[in-house]
Amino acid sequence: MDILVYTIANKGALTKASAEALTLGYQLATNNSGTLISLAIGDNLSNAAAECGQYGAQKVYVAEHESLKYFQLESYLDIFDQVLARQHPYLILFPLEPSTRDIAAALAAKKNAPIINDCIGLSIDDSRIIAWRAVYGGKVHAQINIPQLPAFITMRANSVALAANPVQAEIVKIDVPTPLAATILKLKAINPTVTTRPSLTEARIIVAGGRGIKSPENYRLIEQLADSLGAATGASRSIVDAGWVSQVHQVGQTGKTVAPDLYIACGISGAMQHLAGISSAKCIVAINIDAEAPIFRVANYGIIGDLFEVIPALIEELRRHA
Amino acid sequence: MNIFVCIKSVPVSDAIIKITPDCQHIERTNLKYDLNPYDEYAIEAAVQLKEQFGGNVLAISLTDEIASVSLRRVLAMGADKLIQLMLPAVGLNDSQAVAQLLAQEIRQNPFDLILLGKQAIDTGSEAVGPLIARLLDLPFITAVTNLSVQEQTVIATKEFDGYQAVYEGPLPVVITTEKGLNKPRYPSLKDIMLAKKKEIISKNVALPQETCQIIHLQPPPTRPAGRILGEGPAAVPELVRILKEAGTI
Ligand SMILES: Cc1cc2nc3c(=O)[nH]c(=O)nc-3n(C[C@H](O)[C@H](O)[C@H](O)COP(=O)(O)OP(=O)(O)OC[C@H]3O[C@@H](n4cnc5c(N)ncnc54)[C@H](O)[C@@H]3O)c2cc1C
Repeated sequence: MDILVYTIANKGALTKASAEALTLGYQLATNNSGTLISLAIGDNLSNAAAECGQYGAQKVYVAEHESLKYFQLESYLDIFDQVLARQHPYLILFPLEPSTRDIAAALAAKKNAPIINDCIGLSIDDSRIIAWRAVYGGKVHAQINIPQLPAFITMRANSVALAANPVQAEIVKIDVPTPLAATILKLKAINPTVTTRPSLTEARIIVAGGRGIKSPENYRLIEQLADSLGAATGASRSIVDAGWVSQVHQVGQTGKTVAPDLYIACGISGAMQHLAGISSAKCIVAINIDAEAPIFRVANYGIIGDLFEVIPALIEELRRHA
Repeated sequence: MNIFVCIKSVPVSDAIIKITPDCQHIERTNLKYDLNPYDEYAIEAAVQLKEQFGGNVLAISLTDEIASVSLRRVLAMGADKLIQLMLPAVGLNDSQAVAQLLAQEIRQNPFDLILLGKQAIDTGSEAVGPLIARLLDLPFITAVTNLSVQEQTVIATKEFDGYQAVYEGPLPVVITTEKGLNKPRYPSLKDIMLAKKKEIISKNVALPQETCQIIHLQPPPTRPAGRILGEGPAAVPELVRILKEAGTI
């Protein structure tokens, strides 16, 4: 039985979350005598397509056209339909991100198939397919039985340990109809959000600031530390609601859920709703002036102190070791 | 404009969640419920559109006896009517089944727009909105951070990694709401009094066939005990040494 993994490219390169979904798909496919198939839709995909073979995809479908650069659900679904007419995977895996949530749900709707988003684990035991999700703000892990196939599963970034499994991949180009078929919803405008930093959900390292930074201009300090680590920048809800930083940086139950290797919380108290977003971070470092702050109860390493002294010292120490 | 808003009552975000001994459910006695935070943005958006265009805001929820109590707040926030689809109190976590029950009820009424929070913060997986849309054969836009309606046309903004996309399409559509869309209002005492006269309809629904089920709940793995490395900048070299040694940085 075959597994299809949908992959995403960013600036021409396969995203880490896509490589993780391929790694997982390869393990499940080979353990169950199936093959791994992948699909990429977009613009500038040739490098990413080649990378899919590195992660075990034997057949790599590619729908490449500049008109597909930006996500448009119906056009992307048309391409999926072409692939699903030729292949019959029993599991369709996606790296979770804003576009894949929509694609996975729309495909599942068509087949009245199970759709499970934001999984942190997926296994097949005795031909039983089991998914794991973090529920109730990460306070509970739920095991979900999937008795019905095919199933559509999106995976949380950073939940699979990457492993290369190079195979000889066959690249199959899909014809993209041009112009794209007209759709009811029109893409009216694209406003690029310029950032040189990695995306919050995919980043290996995140530096986050909270109310302890005291005023909006001090978020610079968070950004400087982030840049010295090649990290993404996060924020607690209180500084988002105060208008100090944009909503896209919020981490927590009503923000982004992240699972980086390292999360550095600066001037963040560690409210339950904030912790909901970071419970799967591998290592949490807390910098807080209050020794009693709840963040220290979940932090792997803590420094009690004034962030206005500790962060510059940390930037300096990192520079000395660079 | 007739607007449906699908809402859910969920355990409050700072609730302590205990798992029942059979690992199948959570302990619900003494658990406090409130409106799902993302649904507040949906209700607020609906009420603002009603203020702009007139019409009706119908709130609908798949709920049960224990949870339903906190749904009434939407009437004080400006919804005109609340429809409660009452499940036997065992919980339903399959997005497909939830979407089917809601769509079945919605399609019996006239509507121009369906709004939902982008996710229920308890067990929700962000799929119900799109599934309802597909069941009703409507377009959908998820996690919307900006929304306006002009002459039967919806314009909505959604954030992607690296860009914002603005979509445009004719009513009816299904929209799920992201934090940042608006500032949900606090009902005044007068709103709360007026809400007491508003209609609440309760209907029992049977559990439908599910495409997947939660079969086991467990606490997340405990984090290893942390270490305070020290106070102030003096602790910094030790932190960097540890992170370097672990290969984290
Ligand atoms: C429904 C709901 C959803 C929510 N969702 C989220 C969410 O998604 N994300 C989120 O973050 N919150 C969320 N919250 C809010 C949450 O409850 C907290 O209010 C919030 O996380 C607190 O932010 P904070 O830690 O920045 O601020 P505070 O709690 O005010 O903490 C500031 C910290 O900074 C420390 N500090 C002060 N000065 C210094 C200094 N000079 N150096 C070092 N440390 C210093 C203080 O000791 C304190 O610990 C939600 C709340 C609700 C009700």
